[in-house]
Amino acid sequence: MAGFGSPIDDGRDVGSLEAWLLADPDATYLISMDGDALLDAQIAPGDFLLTQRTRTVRAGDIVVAEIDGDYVVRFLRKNGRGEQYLEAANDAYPKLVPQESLNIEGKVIACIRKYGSE
Amino acid sequence: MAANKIFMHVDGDAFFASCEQSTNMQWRGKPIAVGRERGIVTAISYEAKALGVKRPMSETELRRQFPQVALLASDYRKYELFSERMKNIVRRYVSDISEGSIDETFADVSAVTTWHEVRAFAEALQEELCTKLGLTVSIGVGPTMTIAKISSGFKKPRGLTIVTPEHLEVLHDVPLRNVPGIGGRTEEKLAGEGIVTIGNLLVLEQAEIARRFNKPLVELAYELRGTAVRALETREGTQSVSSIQAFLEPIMEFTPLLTEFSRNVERVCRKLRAQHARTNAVTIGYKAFPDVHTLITRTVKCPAPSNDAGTIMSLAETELRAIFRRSTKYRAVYVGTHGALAHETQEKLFTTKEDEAQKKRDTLNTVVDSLMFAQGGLPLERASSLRAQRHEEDGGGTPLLKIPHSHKVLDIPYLGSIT
Repeated sequence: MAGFGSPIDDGRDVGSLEAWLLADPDATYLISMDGDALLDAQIAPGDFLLTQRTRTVRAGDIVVAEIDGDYVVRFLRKNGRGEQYLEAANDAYPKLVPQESLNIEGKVIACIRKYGSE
Repeated sequence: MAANKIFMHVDGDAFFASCEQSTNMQWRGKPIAVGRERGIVTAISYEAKALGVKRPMSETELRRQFPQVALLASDYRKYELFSERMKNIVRRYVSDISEGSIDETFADVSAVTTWHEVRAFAEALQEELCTKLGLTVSIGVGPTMTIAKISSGFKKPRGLTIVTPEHLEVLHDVPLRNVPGIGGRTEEKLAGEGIVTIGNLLVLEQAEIARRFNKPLVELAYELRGTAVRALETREGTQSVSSIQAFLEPIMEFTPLLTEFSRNVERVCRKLRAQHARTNAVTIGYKAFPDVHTLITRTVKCPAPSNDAGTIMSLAETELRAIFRRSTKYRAVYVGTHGALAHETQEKLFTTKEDEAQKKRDTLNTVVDSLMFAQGGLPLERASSLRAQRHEEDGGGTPLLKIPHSHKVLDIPYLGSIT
C-alpha cells in the first residue's frame, strides 16, 4: 500500500498523548458505553470508548458490531468451527450468535473514564 | 498543458446525509434528509432518493409526502471533520491534491501510478476511505480533471469509473448539462444550436469552437478531448493567496454566510503564514443566483500588512455587512489577497503599542499553526466560524461532543451511545 507514514513520524522524539492514543486518527471515533454488558472487563456505563474503523479484527477484540440489525459492543469470539459470535463480559447477558448478519463496524482501542466535569 | 496526466476525482456519495449515517448507525439504510435548520431539504440519503425525495424540497412538503423520512439539522463542523479526514487519507496516497469543495477531492496521480495500475490503486484507496470514514465515495479517473469529475458521477454510490485516453468516446452520450462548468445559460445557448451532448460539441473542430464560443468553453472542449488545460490549485510558491468555497445549496442568511467567509479567511491566513507573508489588502467576493458565474468583489486595504485572521475578518465583516442583500441566494464565497505580498517585516528600532499587540497576535498564530501541524491539520476555527452553528445543535443528528467550559466541540466524531 502506498503511504507517507503517520503524522507521528515527524522526526521529533517527543509524541503527544493524542498520537499515542490514536493509532490512526482519521479512522478513530468516540462512542459512549450505555449499560453494563462489559462490566467484568472494567467498562462501566458512561465510559467513552475510542473505536477504530478497521477491517482487521481478531477474536478476542472488543468490537462495535451490527448483529441481526442491532448495534452492540461486545467481545468478538470464534467457536470451534471458526464461526464468529459476540460475548458480553457480564453473566447476565446471553451469548449473541448471528442468525442473519454480523458486520463489524470497528474495534475498541481504548476506554476513557473522565472524573467530574473538568 | 501536460501530456498523459492521470487525474482522480474522489466524490463523497450523498456526503452530508452519509456523514449523519456514519455517526448514527441506527440510520444506516434508512431514508434521511438534512436541512432542518433552514426548513428545506438540502441533502438526502440514497434511501430517501429511492423514495422520490428531491432537493430542494420544503420541510412541509417533505413531512406531507414522506412522513417516514427523518429531517436532521446540518452540522457543518461534522462534515468538515469528515472532509478533512477524507483529504488526509487521500494525501497519504498522493501529495498532489486540491482542496476542492467539502465533499470532493481532486488528485493528480500521474507520479504515483500508471494507466495500467490505476484500477488497483483506486480500489485500494476507495476501500480505505469507505472503511475508515464509515461512508461511501465514488471515484472517477481520467486524463483531465473535467473527465475525472464526470466519471465519478457515472456510477454511484461506491462506483469506480476509469476513462482512459483511448476510450474517450464513452463520454459522447453524456448530456452537457452534466458537465461541470456548463451553466444553465450556456447549456440553453448550446441546445439552441443543437449541441446537447459532449459528442455533439466535439464533432466541431477546435478552431470552430474558438470562433463561435467563449474561452471557458474552448478550454472545456480541450479537457473533454483529453488534453489537460486545468491543473490542481497549487498550494505553495504562489504570489497571491486565495480561497473560494461553493455551497451545495445557496445560503440566504447573513450569519451562515459570515461563517463561510470566516473559514476562508482562516484558510488564506494560514497559507500566508506558511509562506511568512502578509497582505496589504484583501479582496472578498461572492457568487450569487441567478448569475452564478460572475464573482462580485470588494477590496479592503489593511491598516498594516497582516496575516492575522482576526484583523482581516473584522475588516471583511464590515465590508460584508455593507454588501449583504437579504433574499439574495449566495452560491459561493471568495477571499483573496490583493496586490503584492509583503514578505517578512523589518525589525523596527522603536516599537509602539500597536506593534506590541501585533506581536502578541503573531505569537498566538504561531501557536495555532503549530497545533494544526501537530494534529495533522485538523481544523481549528475562530469563534466567528462557529457562531452560525450554535442554533443547529439540537437538530436530531448525533452531535459532536462538547468540551466542558468552552464553546468548542471535540475533533473526533461521536457515534452516540451503545449497549
